[in-house]
Amino acid sequence: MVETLKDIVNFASRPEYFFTLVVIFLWISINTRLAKHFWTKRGGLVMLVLITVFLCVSLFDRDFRLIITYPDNVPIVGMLLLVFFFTWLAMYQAFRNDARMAAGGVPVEQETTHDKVFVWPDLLYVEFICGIISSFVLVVWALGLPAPLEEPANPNVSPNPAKAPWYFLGLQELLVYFDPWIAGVILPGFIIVGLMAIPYIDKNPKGNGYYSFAERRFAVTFFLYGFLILWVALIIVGTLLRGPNWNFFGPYEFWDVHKLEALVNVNLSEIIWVQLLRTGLPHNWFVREIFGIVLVAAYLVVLPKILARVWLKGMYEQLGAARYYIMMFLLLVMVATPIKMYLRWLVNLKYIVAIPEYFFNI
Amino acid sequence: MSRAGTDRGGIRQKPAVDHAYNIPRLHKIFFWSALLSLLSIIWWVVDVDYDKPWKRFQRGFMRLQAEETRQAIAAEDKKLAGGSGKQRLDQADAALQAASAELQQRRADVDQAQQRLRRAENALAKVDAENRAARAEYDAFRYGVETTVVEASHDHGAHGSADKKQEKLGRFDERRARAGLQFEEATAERDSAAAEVARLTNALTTAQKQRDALFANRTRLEKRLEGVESNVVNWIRNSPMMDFIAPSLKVQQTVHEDLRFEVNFQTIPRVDRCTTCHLGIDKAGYEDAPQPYTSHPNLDLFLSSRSPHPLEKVGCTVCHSGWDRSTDFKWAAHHPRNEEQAKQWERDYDWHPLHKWDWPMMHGALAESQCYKCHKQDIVLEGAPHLNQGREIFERAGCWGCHKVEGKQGPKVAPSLRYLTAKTRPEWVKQWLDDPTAFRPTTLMPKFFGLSNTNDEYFKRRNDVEITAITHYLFEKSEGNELEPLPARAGDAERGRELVESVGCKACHLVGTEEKPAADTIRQQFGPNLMGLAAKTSSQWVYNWIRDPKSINPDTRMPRLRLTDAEALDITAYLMTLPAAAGFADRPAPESEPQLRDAVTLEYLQTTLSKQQAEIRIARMSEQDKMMFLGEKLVGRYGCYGCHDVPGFEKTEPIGVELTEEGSKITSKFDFGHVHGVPHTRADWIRTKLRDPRIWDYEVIKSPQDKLRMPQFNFTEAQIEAVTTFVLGLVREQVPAAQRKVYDPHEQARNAGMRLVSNKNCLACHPLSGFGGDYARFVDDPALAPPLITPTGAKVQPDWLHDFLAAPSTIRPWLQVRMPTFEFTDEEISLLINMFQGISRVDERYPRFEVAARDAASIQRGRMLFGIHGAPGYELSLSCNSCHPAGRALPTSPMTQWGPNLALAPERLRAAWILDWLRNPAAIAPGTRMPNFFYDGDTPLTENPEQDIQDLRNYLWTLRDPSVQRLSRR
Repeated sequence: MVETLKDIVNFASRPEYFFTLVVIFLWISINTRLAKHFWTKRGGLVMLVLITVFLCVSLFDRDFRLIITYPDNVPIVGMLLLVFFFTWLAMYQAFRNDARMAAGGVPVEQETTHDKVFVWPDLLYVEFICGIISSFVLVVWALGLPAPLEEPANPNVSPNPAKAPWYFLGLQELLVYFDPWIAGVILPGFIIVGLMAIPYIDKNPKGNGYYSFAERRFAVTFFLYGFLILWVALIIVGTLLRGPNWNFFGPYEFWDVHKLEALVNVNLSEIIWVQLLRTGLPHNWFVREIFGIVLVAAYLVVLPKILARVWLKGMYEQLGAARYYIMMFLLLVMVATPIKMYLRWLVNLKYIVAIPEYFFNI
Repeated sequence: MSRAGTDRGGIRQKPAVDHAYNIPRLHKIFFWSALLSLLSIIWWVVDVDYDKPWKRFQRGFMRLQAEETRQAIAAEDKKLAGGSGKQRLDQADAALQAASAELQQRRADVDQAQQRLRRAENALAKVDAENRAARAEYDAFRYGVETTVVEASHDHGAHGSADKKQEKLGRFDERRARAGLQFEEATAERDSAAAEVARLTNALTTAQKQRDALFANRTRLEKRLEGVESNVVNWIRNSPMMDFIAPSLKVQQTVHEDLRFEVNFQTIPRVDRCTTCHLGIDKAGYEDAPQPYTSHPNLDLFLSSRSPHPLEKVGCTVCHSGWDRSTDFKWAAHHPRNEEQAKQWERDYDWHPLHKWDWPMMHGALAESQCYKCHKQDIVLEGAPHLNQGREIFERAGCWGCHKVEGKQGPKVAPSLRYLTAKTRPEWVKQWLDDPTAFRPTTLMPKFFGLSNTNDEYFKRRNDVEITAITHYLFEKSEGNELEPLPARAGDAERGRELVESVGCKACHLVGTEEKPAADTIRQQFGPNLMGLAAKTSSQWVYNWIRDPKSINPDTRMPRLRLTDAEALDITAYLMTLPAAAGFADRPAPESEPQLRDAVTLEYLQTTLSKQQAEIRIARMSEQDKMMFLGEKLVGRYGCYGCHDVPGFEKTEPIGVELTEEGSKITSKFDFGHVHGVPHTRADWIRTKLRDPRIWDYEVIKSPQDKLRMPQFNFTEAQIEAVTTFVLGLVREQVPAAQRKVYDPHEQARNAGMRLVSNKNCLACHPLSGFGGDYARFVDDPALAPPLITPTGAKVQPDWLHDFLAAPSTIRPWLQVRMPTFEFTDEEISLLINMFQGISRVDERYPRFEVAARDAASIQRGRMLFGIHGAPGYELSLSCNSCHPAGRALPTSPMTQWGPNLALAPERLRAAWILDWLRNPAAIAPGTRMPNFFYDGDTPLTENPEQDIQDLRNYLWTLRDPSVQRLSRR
């Protein structure tokens, strides 16, 4: 019975299912009629209890315990709880304000916020106390759970799995699906540029100084998607579910170095020329990759245009062409990430455009 | 100005605002958080940072030392409180009092002298200051003059000022000279005054010094106690935050620039901090102290300053491994001896094996492996019995036949398979290959078939196919031998048994026993166990073989024992009666299944051909072709030719992994397969592999040709441990020449010869430098064992030794065991002679000694001392002849009591050695029957022993008697 349950969890944790499940969960929890039940005090408590029970019960499993209690991984578990708490806190206040405003009231913040306070003691004293408490927590944490310093690294024995610092493990997970320069340079670059661009793209004054979901449905949904799914969930996968040789291991699975996985990935060009057209690959790379190039161009150039005319007409008009196209470009790149991952999972697609002649792969 | 009108002198009043927080509550939060923060910092500084485990160990050792020092002080006090100590103290006190009383009488003189000294010192101080100032000013001004002169030489108008300066410099110089003179005078006056004071107080000072000398030891001990006992000073020195100044608890380390660890494509010096906790390791007297304070068990050889491996020079990790820089039990890479210790360490020290540190510590026996880093050339190394045994087994069991190891080569260890047809039958070979131990339980031949990865139903059939093919190949390739016919008369087995027991066969062969000897050497397994010969070979072959082994196999290691035909026949008769191991006769010889054989042949064909080609090829092959093809492939696969001379494989490379740097191979490169429960260390991998060489195939799915193929050796646990030790010593680490043992020419000669000694198994009979001499256990009387050969180099003449080694002659007719004829080459004999001279550190290659006519009187005296049996004056002599034959004069005692024939001496012995021998025989050959005639220790036993010894030697040199020599050379 227990073993069956473990097998089910192990199976459901495979990247494709895990990813799909969290996406579905996120959608249900914010964009359906059930949403309001998640972001109440009771809902938060139930979710917290569920998470805690899952962690505690799972600790009885040796392999799970080894991964979770590895000193490198402890902060990640802590971070997960914090992310959950702060997400809940924000959404709780947002839903509360939405309810008040729907009833014709004003946001809570408007009623409780003072106009002015003294720098001392209202600001500095509190900051000072926060500093003391933070340093206390950090000292106790550092002493009680010392840094996992080990013997000198042995350059002849590279660690397996070789992992980036935990906060980069989401990016490292992307390396499975993308060419290194995309996963390591382009995508992180877009994340930074995109975050910097938000204030210039988003000129909607609603939600300033108070929490609200109903007024900022599009922005909050995409932010939560980008942060919780593409960053945090991938960190979970990279940290807890990727073992030796970067193979996937369920949370209750032994990290066996010898585990083998069949990897038979093919490029889009091979699918089209070899499997569908049965003509063999053309020698000229441009001809060979023409389908992939057209596809990517259509996705990034044509799609925004169509959307602007059809479904997002209102947004296009509201933002203007420049803002709209910049935002759509960033948004489409963000959406492209899971698209590529799903293509890998479903049809073993290696690259949409593969030009090894110029080290250019998408 | 403009704002002056606002109230309160220009400062605008802030609007009154409520506080956002409850301030008194914030105070409370501040108080508690600050308190917690303080406590956490105290925890951090005092407990975590300060209280390191090694400090606890050092405190423990200091308590131990304090206790010990207190006891020493008490003993010192006791010494001064009674007996001769008290007497000396009383004397010193009395002398002191007397001197002090005497001085009192001359008080006025002393006071005057001391006053004079004080005045002189004051004057000197003043003059000294003046003197130094004068010199400094002169030097500074001189520099100025020099630069002015140089400038003036460029600028012709400036000569005037240069001249003026020169003049002034003269005045400085005068002042300097004057001050110097005053200084010398004042110094002389001071010295004279001081001498006067010393003269007057001399008696008192001496008496005081003498008294202090009695307390010197105690004072030293007290000083030591101050450093180690727990007192306020030490407490402050070692308290948190203060301990950066001069703590007495501190990390101890030795830095070894030239013994380096390899990291990341470079090397770093070893910094051994082991002595931080192992504080008594290099000191005698802590043998019974608890760990970690125990003394090293072999301080004569290691760590102590007088040993060849002092701590400062060698350190710890170069032998014992471990993480040199660590000061924590767990991180030092301590490695438990057994499971039980591991459990205890986990409990006591939170111990676990280190995953990234590849050099876990090695305890005693395993650490011997690291001796090999520097002592590669010593064939047998004193103080490293496990390494010696491991190396011996590695060489003798033929490990190097498959596993290349730099520097290991030599004749193949197992019998040649070139002459099989005359020797044995295919049925026997098949049975033998099936399981060698079923025939001879002690054999060194390993088992290849039916091991843990090849014992299922399929492999049982396949093994038979393989065995049959190998046997077929070997017999087809074998050459014949011309054998002498067996004499018609039947041999006497009983007499044969006596001969086998006595002539020396047992030095290299086990005879009939099914048990392994318990000895830690395998020299008795140099040749095969002589059991079951009747099942294996014919009487005719045995007869021919023991008469002259080289007539059958010119390359054999078996020497000739100069057996007569009758002796050979008797021995043959006896050997043929020795049975094989029980049950061997009932074992069926493996038989090949043609169908399976074809399948295996096809499989091997496919290693180089495509499936289609292989099928065409096999269809064209005859039975014979298939057997020969498969046989050759299998001999190649199993590497039979590594140990045996196999026709067709003379130049083939060995099949195994090269082991030259096995001891440095990183642990993660060892394949532990699916086997769990074996600790991941080199030692454990090698050990486990030796126990079951195919174990890593456990539950691995492989094609038959990919399976592991190392055979199963029939080793005991002790032997496995020894081989593991040796293999761990095969490391990449290069110890620089300066740190390695430097072999002088004598030692080099010894090492070169010792290799031959090892190859010929000499130590199985002869004791040499404290090793070998195993044959002694087969004789009742030590005098009947083969002689000690350690002193040979100093003892015998090289010419004689050369002749003897080329064709041994009888020196000791009472010995039944025979020195075999090895048929050494001249080169080998030179090696041996050089080796013996190297061991004895003798350089003289052409010793010459002649007695001259003028020595006649001495010779006469020698003759009288010697005492020929029955000659006049025999009763007064030393009766040498009662044991030693001297030419024709034979002793009357039974032959077992004889000594060597002294008529051989002038030709055989070195003249100088005879003198040494007579002075103290037991010093050269401990346990010899030769008595001490001339000295008892250092006490002379005769009036003029040196003269007597020389007389005796001179007399011996007259004993040349060709007939005796002929008689003695059999």
